Amino acid sequence: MFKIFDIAVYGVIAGFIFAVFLGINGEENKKPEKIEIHINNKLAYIYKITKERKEYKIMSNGGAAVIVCENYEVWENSAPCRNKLCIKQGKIKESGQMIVCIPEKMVVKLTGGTDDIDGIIR
Amino acid sequence: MDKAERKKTAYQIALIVMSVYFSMLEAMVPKPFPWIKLGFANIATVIGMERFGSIFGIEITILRIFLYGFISGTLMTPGFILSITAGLGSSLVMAGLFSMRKKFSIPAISTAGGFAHNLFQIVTAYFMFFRNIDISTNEVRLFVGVFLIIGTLSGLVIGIVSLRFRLIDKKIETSKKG
Repeated sequence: MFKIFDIAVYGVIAGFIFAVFLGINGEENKKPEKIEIHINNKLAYIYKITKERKEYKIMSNGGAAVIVCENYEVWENSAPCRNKLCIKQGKIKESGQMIVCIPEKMVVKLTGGTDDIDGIIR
Repeated sequence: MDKAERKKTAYQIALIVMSVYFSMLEAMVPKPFPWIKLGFANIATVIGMERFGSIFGIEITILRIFLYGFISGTLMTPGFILSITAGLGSSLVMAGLFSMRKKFSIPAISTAGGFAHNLFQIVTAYFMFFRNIDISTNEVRLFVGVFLIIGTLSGLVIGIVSLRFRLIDKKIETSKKG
């Protein structure tokens, strides 16, 4: 009933199915679609995330900040605050990540994509 | 037609009727999508292939699909197209493995056939319905995985069942001779 080459068949099938399940939780589901910029706790700007380089000049509390989006990554290039911590926060690219500037009361947040969990309430 | 020919034809007809019956049973099972097939009717194909060769089994599959299409009035519906591509595809896969019959056991061949059956359904359904839609979501992947597992398991069950069938058959033959 059971022959040695059966393992080859079962192995191929199992490998295939395993690969399908492995594809779940892949990166592409967390690809965000929009950049949401909140100023003073209110949504001020929404931009679409793009691959080509786009620079957005944002008017925040203390002056103008420049948000750059390139290759589906977002970061801040210039800021009117004193410590420039927001620029030091670097690039964000996943859904839910954000760049925060406290003196400017500005939050740059990436949203969208199918796996967007904002928080879990226990 | 001599006696052996008649016996072979009668066998084939019996297998076709049995697989049509299985198709009807399958149609009563609730399914997430209306046209997907579980593949239990392939048991007739496996038995036919084992007893009388690959072409015999392929004939059974094709005739069964057309016959069931006529009876249920689903000829040329999407379900029928899924059925014929999946049935033919899985039969060809099984025929290919059957040509190396010495190396594979029946459960393995049947499992491969069941897996191929559902895989062909998914591929065909994708080309029929989902060409322009982005379906690379987690839910779709989960469904595909579970669906393939169901096909594999049903193929395995068919293989084991038809193995017993074959054993019983051989008993009848040896008892008739002896």
